[in-house]
Amino acid sequence: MKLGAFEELVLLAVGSLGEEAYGVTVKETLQQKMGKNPSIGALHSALYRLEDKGCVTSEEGGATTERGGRRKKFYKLTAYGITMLEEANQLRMEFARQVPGLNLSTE
Amino acid sequence: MSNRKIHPPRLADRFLQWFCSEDVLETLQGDLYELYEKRREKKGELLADIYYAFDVLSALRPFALEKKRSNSNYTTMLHHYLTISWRNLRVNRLYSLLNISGLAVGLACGILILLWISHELSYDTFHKNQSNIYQLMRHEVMSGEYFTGDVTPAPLGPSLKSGMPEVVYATRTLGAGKQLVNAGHENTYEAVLYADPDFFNIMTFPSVTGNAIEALNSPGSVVITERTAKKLFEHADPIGKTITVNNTDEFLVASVIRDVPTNSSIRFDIVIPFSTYEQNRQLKWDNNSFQTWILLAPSTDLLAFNEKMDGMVEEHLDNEEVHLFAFPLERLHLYNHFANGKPDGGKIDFVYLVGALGVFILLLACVNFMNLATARSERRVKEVGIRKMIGAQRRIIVGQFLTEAMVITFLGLFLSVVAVKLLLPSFNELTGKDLSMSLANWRLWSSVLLLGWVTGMVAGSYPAFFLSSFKPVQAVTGLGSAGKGASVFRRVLVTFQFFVSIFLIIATIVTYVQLEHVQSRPLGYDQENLVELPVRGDMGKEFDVFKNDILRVPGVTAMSAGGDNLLKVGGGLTGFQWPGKGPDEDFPINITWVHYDWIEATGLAIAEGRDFSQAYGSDSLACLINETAARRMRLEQPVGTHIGGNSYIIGVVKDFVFNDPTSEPEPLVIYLGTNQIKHIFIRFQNDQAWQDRLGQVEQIFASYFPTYPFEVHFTKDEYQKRFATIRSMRGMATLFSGLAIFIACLGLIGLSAYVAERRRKEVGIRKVLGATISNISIALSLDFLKPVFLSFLLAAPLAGWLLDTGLDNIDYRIELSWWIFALAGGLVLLLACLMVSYHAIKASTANPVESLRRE
Repeated sequence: MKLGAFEELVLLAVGSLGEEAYGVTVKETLQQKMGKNPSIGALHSALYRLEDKGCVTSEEGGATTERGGRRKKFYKLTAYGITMLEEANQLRMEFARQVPGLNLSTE
Repeated sequence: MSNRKIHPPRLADRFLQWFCSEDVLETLQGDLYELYEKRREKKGELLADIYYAFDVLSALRPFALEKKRSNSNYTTMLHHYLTISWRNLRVNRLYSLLNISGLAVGLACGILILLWISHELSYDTFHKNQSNIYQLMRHEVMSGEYFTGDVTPAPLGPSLKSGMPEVVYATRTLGAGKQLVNAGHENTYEAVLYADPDFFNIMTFPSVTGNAIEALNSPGSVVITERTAKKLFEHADPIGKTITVNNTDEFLVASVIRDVPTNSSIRFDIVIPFSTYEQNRQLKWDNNSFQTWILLAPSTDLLAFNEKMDGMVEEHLDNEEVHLFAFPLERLHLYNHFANGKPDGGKIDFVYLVGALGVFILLLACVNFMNLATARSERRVKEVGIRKMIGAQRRIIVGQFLTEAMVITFLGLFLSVVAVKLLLPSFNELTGKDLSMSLANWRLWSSVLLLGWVTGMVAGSYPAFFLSSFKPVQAVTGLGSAGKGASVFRRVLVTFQFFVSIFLIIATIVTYVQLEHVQSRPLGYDQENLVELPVRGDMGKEFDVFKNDILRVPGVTAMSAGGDNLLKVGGGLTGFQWPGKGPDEDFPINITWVHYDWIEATGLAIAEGRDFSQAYGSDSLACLINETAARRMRLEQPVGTHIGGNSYIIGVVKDFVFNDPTSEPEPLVIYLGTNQIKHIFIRFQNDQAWQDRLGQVEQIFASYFPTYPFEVHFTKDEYQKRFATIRSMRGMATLFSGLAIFIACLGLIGLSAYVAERRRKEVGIRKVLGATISNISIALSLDFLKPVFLSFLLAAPLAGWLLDTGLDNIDYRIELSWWIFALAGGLVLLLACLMVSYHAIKASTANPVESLRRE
């Protein structure tokens, strides 16, 4: 199963947020890191898809007053999710190496 | 929990809660609230509100909806019903096709009839004050008999308004028919109505420009409709422009009103102030030429009011008994017939008749559905049994079959709406109506939907009840026979279908024969080669010179003129005197005025005496009568007798057909009236050159009357036009009986196909044992023809009796003869044979090995 481009970004965001990944924080992370501003509907839709694919698991909790007493749905990267991200990354790197003159050094 | 108040936009929030499934809602809404709160602090409330709304819309995606849908038991069941219905439709193509097309035809009839009826019922409803508008009518009593009419004298309107506090407004009207109207270069004929200013207070004809009421208050002004304005002035502003009526009277256009709706009882193009008509005339109480309309105060007691004004006309007359009464406009179009002073229906009878016809045709289509559904029941028995064993209650199975019926009905309804859309122009031509199906007419569409729903329920309820009644054990083992009761019922239904079809066919044939009979009735004069020119405006003055010139055209054999056009002779006159008249004896006598040579030009025949002639100077005091008048006045020596005051009879004209072409001739008295010319008659020689001659007549006409368009009527064509109503009725009868027989045939095809298939094995065995093809096909067919015979035996006497009663209202009628019934029966039998034999022959020619091999 392949990840979509947007799904991959969401998955990365969930992974980078660790314990604090839920709808609003994921949205903010995407906004800060990528300059993207996904609608909350698109985001939730992607998260539910990722859960169906088994890339993330979810757990509810952490109701606050500013949420009108409603719970959050925290997402966590699964092992399968990590494999998917690695595969996607590897695929891209291999492809990119064939492009001459592309500087691939990280850090 | 929440002490702090957050208010995201309520509407958006409620929408979210409505469409979102429970498990998604909690966290999604929580995220939205949190975002809202943050945005509110950063960007302010307004922007936060807007973002919130967008976010809610962005969540309108499958992930949020899905689970909600599958939550409801009802939707699941409905979904299941629809799936099963659809599969059944697709598996049984022939059956579905027959069912849907039968229902579509039935529903198309239903919709057409619905359109027609709603148009009839909508007459005059556009008047805002409709319920308080009344037309004054009168009962006139002669020799103890009541004659009811709507003509009233001119002084009545004003004296009602001034003398009766209940009368808010009153107007007199006079429909003057088509008159020549010109403005600048445009010449047309427009329908002219004379009316008092109150006319526009009473009736609702909204004005586009100008004040219509004020216009009628000032003599010399007119009100015209938009259509007429466009014809006369095209796009120019008509207000203040001059129009000329009949080349004599000039008027200023003071107001333009909207066109008169097609469902109005009063029709006109131009309204001229009544005062203009009154100016040079003495309109007294004995001149009944006008209609009077009043608007009564809302709380008026009609009975008391009628009693109060009962004698208002009578008191001004000597020796006449006239009762006046106010007749509501609401009832004018549909209930305006009176028989001897009592209300006697009117067009409403026809509306009921057509409505009943529609119901019957729809019933035929429903019967088809029931027949086919129950006939095929055995195929569904196992399905029902298994459903029941799994735990379906009867209610659920009923629901399933009703859904199937509804699916089929609504497919049919869709087809029928398309068909009606396509057929409406031809239907309008047939009925002479202007019906339309506009999308904006929600009442029409809701009644169409209701029609579909009721049809589906009627068609589906019996099969649903019947199919759901199987006991599961019997159903699955196939022990109990599902057939007996149902097959009797099917026969009853088929009999009913053919009963209706045969009845309608007989009725159609009778209308055809009757119309043919009336159309070929000897007229008493010669309509061939006779043309009639209507006399407009002041054309009559030049008649004598014009006549001389026309008579010079080679091939013109005679020319005359008269006050009436031969087909229709003006109203009856009462109180006529003749020698030997009894004290209580009276009947209406038709009066007409003619010019010299009338007998010769029209081709009438003299029974006794002579025509008017210029050789006798004293003919201005003479008169002619027809044979009926002579007979009813019991004159033994009519010629020379003095009647009606001081005129004496110089001749008796043989009876001829005028007014109603189906009735007995009415008494007629003909005077010489050279000033009363309304129609010119010209007789041509009987040969092929009439077109040249007509061209020459037109040239002469144009040289005499350059401003009038040349109008010519062929008397024969005009006479035929009088049958338009009957012909359109005949057209409708033909159409609907054709459709009825079509539906019945569809049903027969379906049933025979089914039976042929069910008896495949039987047929196979018979063939193996030596039966011939014809043996078998005849045996199979006869089974179906029995109901057809039975329905003929039932329908023929009933139709005969009803039609004979109906024909009794017509004087010049046919006698029903055996061949009409034989034709109808033969036709139906032939069609039924064709339908049934196809499958019978197919079944009997099949190879028995094929049918016996299986199992």
